[in-house]
Amino acid sequence: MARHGQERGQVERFSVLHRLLHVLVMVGFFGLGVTGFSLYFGGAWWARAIAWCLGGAAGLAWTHRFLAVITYASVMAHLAWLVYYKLVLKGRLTGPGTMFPRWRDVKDMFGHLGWALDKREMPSFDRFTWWEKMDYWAVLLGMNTMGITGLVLWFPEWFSQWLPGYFINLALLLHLFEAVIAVAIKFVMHPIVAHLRPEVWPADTTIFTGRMSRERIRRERPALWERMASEDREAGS
Amino acid sequence: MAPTRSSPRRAAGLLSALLLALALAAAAWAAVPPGMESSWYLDLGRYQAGAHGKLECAECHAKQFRALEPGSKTPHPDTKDSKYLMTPALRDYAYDQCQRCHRTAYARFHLGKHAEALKKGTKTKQTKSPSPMCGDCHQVHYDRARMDRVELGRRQTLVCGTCHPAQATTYLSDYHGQAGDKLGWEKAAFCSDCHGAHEVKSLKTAEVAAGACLRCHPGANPRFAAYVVHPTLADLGQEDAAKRRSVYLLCTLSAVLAVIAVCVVGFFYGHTFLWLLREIQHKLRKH
Repeated sequence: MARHGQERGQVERFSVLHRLLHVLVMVGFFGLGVTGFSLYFGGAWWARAIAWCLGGAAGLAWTHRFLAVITYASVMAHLAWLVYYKLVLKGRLTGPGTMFPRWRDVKDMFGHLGWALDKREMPSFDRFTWWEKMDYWAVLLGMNTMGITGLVLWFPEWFSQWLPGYFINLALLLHLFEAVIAVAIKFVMHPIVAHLRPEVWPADTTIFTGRMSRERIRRERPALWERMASEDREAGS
Repeated sequence: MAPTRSSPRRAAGLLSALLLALALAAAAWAAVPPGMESSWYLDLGRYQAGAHGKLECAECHAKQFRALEPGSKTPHPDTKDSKYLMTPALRDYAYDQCQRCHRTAYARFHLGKHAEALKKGTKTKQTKSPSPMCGDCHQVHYDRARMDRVELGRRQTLVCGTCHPAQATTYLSDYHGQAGDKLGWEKAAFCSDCHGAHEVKSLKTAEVAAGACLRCHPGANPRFAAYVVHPTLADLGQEDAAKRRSVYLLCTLSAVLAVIAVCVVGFFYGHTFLWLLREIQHKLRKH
């Protein structure tokens, strides 16, 4: 949780581990998208250019697998941290300040849409907004499904000991369409929402520095601000 | 520049466009059916650069040379007869002569599906092409010796694809075709790596297909061979029920996934777009 009351009106929002994991997943995901689509659209001029840089189809395929291992290792590191956080640090994994999905997030999403259409008030966001939770769960779950279908494509002979061969086709289809959705959302929407929209333009450095100003929390996360204020009152009294 | 100067230019432009269109129409009108372009005339330069370039004409066309001798029983065709030049020389040639040098390839050809279809006279369902003989796949006069694997493989996609277009298309959208044909990876599988070059095999039985897979995939079993390289219903009979089911499953699943992808991406793009408009409106209102 945010340790508040720090100097210069800053609050620590992401720990060093999470900043590092974000950078790893960012680089890994981008590379996976580039190499994967270059393999699939091998006839396109840009794909051939990228393939040439990485040493042909074999280079593309091995870079893809290498990045997949790094990205999935980041996911595993995060899961290990969750266990440590729960068991050793006695932290909470559910509740208002966590990534755990709540019914309120669905209401927030439609409330937010209503706000965009000038029909409703802006929902009062807590530590993680609905789109941040969606980004998080999309990666956490998506990396596992991509990992499973990817492993089927990496070791088809081994999997065909139990599965009929057309499961390799199914794995490829699922891998492809999930990649299309993931890239369309993460390569386009995530940068726009997190950095490029007018409220945060030109960039939000929080995920890289880990710090967020108290002023921004008051403005953009009123529910978190309220909770922080009540915790402060309890600590003060 | 005076406006009057531009009109002759425009006329010249129009005229050249018209000439170009006429030339294209003439070219289309004069086009010979595919496979018959070089039947009767030889480009000697290209011939001499090819694998057969050192051979004398008479070594392969002995019969035709004998026909020129006085008193020959098989006279040379009437050169004035315009109909004769329209018979496809490619299919007229006695290919049994090829085995004088290419004995293994010739013997293998006769073990395969193409030879079987040639005997029965069956044609492909897709293009109604008759079964090929040597000259249908090999440009006998011009092909170079020792083409590299990728060049040869890409040629196969084109050549095999003229009679089996659905198989060529599906191969190209399969990983083997993407890595091999499109990205030029020499270790990927091209047509002949699975189906054989001269002994052309159908891989409809799982055990035979697994034998082809084993060439690159150690441990491949008949179950592995149920992987669908050519997800198309072309050339599939009712007896290929298992593959038909797989193809239906794959087509249905990709349609469903495409709808899901469009809905998900469309919803969130729409949401972000409205969100952006609203924030821009807020910014403008403040100023």
